[in-house]
Amino acid sequence: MRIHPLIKEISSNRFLFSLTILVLFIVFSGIVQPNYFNPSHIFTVVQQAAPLIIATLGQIFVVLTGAIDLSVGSILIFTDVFAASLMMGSNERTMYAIILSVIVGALFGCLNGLGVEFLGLPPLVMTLASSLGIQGLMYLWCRGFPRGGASPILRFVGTARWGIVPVSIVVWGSAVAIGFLLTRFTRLGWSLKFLGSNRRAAHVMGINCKIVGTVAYVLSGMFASLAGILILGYVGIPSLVLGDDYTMASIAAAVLGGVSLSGGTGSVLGAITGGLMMRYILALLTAFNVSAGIKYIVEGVVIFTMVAVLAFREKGGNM
Amino acid sequence: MLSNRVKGTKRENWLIASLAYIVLFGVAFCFSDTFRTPRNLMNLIVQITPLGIITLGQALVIISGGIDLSVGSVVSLATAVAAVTMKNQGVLASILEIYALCLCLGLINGLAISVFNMNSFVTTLATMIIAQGLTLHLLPAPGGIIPYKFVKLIMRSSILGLPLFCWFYVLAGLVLSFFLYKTRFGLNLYSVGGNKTAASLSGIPVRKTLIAVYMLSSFMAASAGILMVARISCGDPLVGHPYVLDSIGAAAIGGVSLSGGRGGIVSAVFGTLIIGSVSNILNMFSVTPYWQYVFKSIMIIFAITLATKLERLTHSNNIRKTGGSTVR
Repeated sequence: MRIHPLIKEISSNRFLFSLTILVLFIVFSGIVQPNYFNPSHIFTVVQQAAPLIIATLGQIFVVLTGAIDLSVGSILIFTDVFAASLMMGSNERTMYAIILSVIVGALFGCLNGLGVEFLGLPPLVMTLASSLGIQGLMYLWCRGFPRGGASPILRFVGTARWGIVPVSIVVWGSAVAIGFLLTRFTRLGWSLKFLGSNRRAAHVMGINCKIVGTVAYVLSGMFASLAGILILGYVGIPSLVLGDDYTMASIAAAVLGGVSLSGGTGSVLGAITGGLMMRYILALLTAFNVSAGIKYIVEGVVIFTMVAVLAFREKGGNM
Repeated sequence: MLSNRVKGTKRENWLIASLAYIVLFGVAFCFSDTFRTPRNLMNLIVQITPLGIITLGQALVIISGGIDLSVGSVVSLATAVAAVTMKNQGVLASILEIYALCLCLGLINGLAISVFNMNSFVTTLATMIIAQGLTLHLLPAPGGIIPYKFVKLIMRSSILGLPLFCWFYVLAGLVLSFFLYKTRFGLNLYSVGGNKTAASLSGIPVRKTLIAVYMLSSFMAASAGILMVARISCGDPLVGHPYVLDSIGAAAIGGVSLSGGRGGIVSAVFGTLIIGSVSNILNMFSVTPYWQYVFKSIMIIFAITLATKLERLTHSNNIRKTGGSTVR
């Protein structure tokens, strides 16, 4: 039997595969819920997905190196509270708050990287422990009661739309574009993937594995804090209870975006498809008016199926 | 016979964890008047029992080279099912239902990871979300009625001064120790965790072992859930949430290697004692909960760094052979 080259390409490229699934999802939702199938609603989902896409982007850098970052949620929530208290709703202090928050995010990422690469702790334990610590620092910073709020400019970026297109698309669009250029055209970007495919080989090739691994965590921390700022812009006031959701959601979105958790395989563009898919499933289920429990179940089944299909494909390819 | 065969390879190193625990306990015992009261010590034992039972299962999964993120949701699911069914269908039927449901989840984990070769982290992440969904569907908010007879049996009756509640932990620890240290299953588990391909080539039933270990982990989590129900005497859809990370942290701090193949029941017990006691001890020294987060985090990082460094020292020859720093 002859297989069309397009189908071959889709089944061999993990990103195209996840893109296809996303498109099928949207088409499917158009068939079963025609009322919700209009550009305005789809762009609402895109707007809601913005923080998740950015957090997932950071997670993907770490996952590409074969590690994992469980502190994404904590860094995100810390930034949310931290930036709000620095900003205090004034336009003049927006840039100052954003820059300081991203620096702090990078610092947390750097700590993770140091723990994993230089102290030799397993990534799971190190980021788990640091997420606890960051959560504690967050409470200490705000003394249990978050204050402040987003400035009008940040609110504009988080919630406004040009026609039907949300403004926040520019933020995650440029973030993913930077990530894409980084992984495609720079030595550092290639090193991330090499590290994930085969650490020993990367070491022998002359890549400084420890530095590259640390940089991946720094990038993850920076993007997590950027996501936190975007959430602040979307919600307007800081919240103490968004954290854990984003850690697991970013990992699930990375997987749905076609990134292999064993490292080395996948594209940063998967952040877009994965993040959109996660939020689209939720929006679709909300349209069906199902309970929160059923939403979780469907989400879990979709993730499970996606991983099973990817694993099955890989197995078939090897044989 | 089996124990002779495994001599010479160090599978478990709980010395550091036990020393750390003794120091921790000793300091708290000497410097805090409230900590050493019998009432607090008894409370401490009751507090750590559910975490202990969950960590036993988690440790076995980690020894097999995987990880089980679904334990927390399974605990919540067990409490939710108990809250919904225990009153109407009787205690025994309810417990059977809980075990049937949770073992199904464990079976799905095991099958997916062993047969379809799926990554254990994402697989159990997916089943974690599914179990959480089931829980919220059954019981959207804390509530439900637990028969007082059941609560009384588990919490109020005691043997040798220890509530029946805690004896389940002792029992589970002894039974699992027997399985891990004295039977072929245990040996298989270590070889699967050490090197899956080698284990498979030498004729070890890798799939069966993995399925068994994931089902065992779900079984332990379900048991912990049933005991939790007796303790809080209602169902709670979010009660299991903290146990995911705590159980992984406890196993790791006790000396169970997250890359698989090393660790054991004794490590899991000492890890639980450390993680479980820290909050209590810090409370006794009136440290605010905010600082407790930070302190716990630093403690985990410090303890595990120390453990890995000391392990590297004792295994320095092996490390050198495999390329030193490039191997994680």
